[in-house]
Amino acid sequence: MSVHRFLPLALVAVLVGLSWGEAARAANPEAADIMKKQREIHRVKDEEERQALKLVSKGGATKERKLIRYLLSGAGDLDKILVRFTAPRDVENTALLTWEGKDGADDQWLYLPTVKKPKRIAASGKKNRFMGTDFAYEDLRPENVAANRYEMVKSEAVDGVECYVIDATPATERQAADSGYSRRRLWVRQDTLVTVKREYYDKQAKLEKVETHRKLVNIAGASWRADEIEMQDVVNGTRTLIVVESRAVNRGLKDDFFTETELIR
Amino acid sequence: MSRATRWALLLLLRLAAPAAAEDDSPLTLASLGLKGQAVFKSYVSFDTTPNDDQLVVNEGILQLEWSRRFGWGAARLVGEFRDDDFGYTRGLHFQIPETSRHRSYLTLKEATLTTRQGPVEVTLGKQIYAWGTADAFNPTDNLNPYDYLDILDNEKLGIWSASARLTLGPTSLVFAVVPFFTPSRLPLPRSRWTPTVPAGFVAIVDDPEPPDQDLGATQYAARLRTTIAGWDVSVSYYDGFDHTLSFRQSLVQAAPGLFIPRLTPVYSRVKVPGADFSTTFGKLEVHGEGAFRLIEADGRDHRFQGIAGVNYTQEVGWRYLDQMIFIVEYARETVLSRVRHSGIVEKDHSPFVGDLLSDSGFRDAIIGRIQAKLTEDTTLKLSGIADLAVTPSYYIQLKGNHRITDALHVEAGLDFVTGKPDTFWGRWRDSDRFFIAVRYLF
Repeated sequence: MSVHRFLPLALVAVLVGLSWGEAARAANPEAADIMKKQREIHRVKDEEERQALKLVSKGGATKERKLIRYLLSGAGDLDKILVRFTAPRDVENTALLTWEGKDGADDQWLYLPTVKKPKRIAASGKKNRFMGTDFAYEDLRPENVAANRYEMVKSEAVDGVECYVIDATPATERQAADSGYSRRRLWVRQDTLVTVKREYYDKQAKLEKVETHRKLVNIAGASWRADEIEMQDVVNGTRTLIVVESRAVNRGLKDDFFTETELIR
Repeated sequence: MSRATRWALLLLLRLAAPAAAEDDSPLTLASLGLKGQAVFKSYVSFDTTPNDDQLVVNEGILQLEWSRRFGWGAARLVGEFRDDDFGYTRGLHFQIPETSRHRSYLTLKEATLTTRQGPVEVTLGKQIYAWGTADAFNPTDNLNPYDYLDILDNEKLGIWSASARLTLGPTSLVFAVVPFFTPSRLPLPRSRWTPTVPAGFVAIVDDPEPPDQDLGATQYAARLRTTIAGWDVSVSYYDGFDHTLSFRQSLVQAAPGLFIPRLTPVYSRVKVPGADFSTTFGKLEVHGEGAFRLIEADGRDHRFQGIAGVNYTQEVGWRYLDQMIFIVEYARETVLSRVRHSGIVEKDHSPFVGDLLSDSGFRDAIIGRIQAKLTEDTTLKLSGIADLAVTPSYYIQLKGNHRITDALHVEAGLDFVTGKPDTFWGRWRDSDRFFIAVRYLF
């Protein structure tokens, strides 16, 4: 049997394959564009949030934490973030300063009041849970559009509002290694481009956590934020509720604020 | 109560609690800007020593902190009530500078006024500084003396000083002036932490000879720190005194032809230029710190002290093992040159007394720590220092911390010290012990 007899068939198959590929790529840029646009329109120059965190165990026991989170949008879509705990007493004034770096190579310093000096830490714990909550460090960061691949899955209503349902998977080797997830499924409102729900799938592709955003508020221009965020660990049966007690945006925070001087205050 | 006293009390309350005064919220410690902690510590030694036959030492501490922000800046006070059943604490004394051999029942640990104008922040008062990037020992951190009444559970003492900090982006410059000299508080003669003098060693030991508290006693320090391309780097300088003792040697004629050595404890005046760095490579944090300790007066050797190490964090994520942290450091001290005719006794490896006069366990030392975070509330820590200078000696500590509630914590552990009697750690070889501390935060 001559190979040439199958050549036209093979060509057809390749062409069909290519057209399917084109269709998939046509969908992907749309999802990626949505995520890029989301990051653009909800970005503010600077932000200060006072948050109350409620940690609920499987048995229903609760613990509370309070913190202030400052954020400064920087050049190159890279932010500086300062988180300072204000309660309870044993973590009071513990602070974490992050300077986002390209490709996830962040600078991070931790200040422990008992040691009285800031310590540079390796930012390797992105998948680690944040201060005993159900949020990993990476869950609390703004969406890193450059480090993820997005794919439109379908359209679906959440609380009566139509949402894009988008799958996000790590696009770089570093992101795949740093992230604790193989995939995240996002529900993005079509009217305001706010993410109202996220499902997190572990490295074995099993559903691990579900995050819900509630009480959306318009904070400036087209920028929206949720005043309540709940993360449910469906495997361990725990949940964490973040309630934003107050928020201020575009106050004119300067670079000097996101330094060692403020970290150790 | 006189009218003036009543007015003064009202004014004090008004100053302390504007929030409580302005609205009808209940009067609480928090509304007064007050917080604190109550700590009970107990140490159980396994052996008595020739100096000390008390096996159990109990200690109670009540610490109160008040802080408030004003339009012009901020004020902060940290006071402490303290007592123990060994005699570390005796009497009620308020000294500037603190020179008492004992702790006071009531101490002002820190007291600062801070004001800020643009990029400059000025702080006056009793302060604690913390410089350097290393974990076990900081050659660039020289401003504060220590309380060494318990060698293994030592703590930094605040110093009355003025400091200014200039911040420009990622760069900061700190300058500090300390007008008085405060020595470190050394172990009491009757305590297990004062080594036994070897049989046959005879000398007259004077009282310490502190520097005159005049302008010449003023100490200065500066530190310039910045972050460049993922590296934290700093250079620093200290011009002041060593806080621990050196010994000036002379001879006293006891009888015709019979001379006895006489040791006069003095404090070396030193100049210490230094530098440190810290950076990360993936999951590894790498740091280093070094300083030249150059003698200006009352010292024997110009030295270089350096330490470098790595810090590695491994996220485990198991149910009862969340995270492991590994820290390894190496410290080295080198004599660069000797001061001629100083008359100061060699502190390391001296005849008859070995390392009994030495005040540095980091001359050729490996330091290690493994920390296992079992859960969010429970941590186990194994730390060790091996002093390899000439004859090795070791200090090992195993410690566990558990958070019963957010406010109530307990920590317990074991201290082990080994080595020959005349080595750095070995002189405390009879001080292996169990310890427990219960802390209530409010």
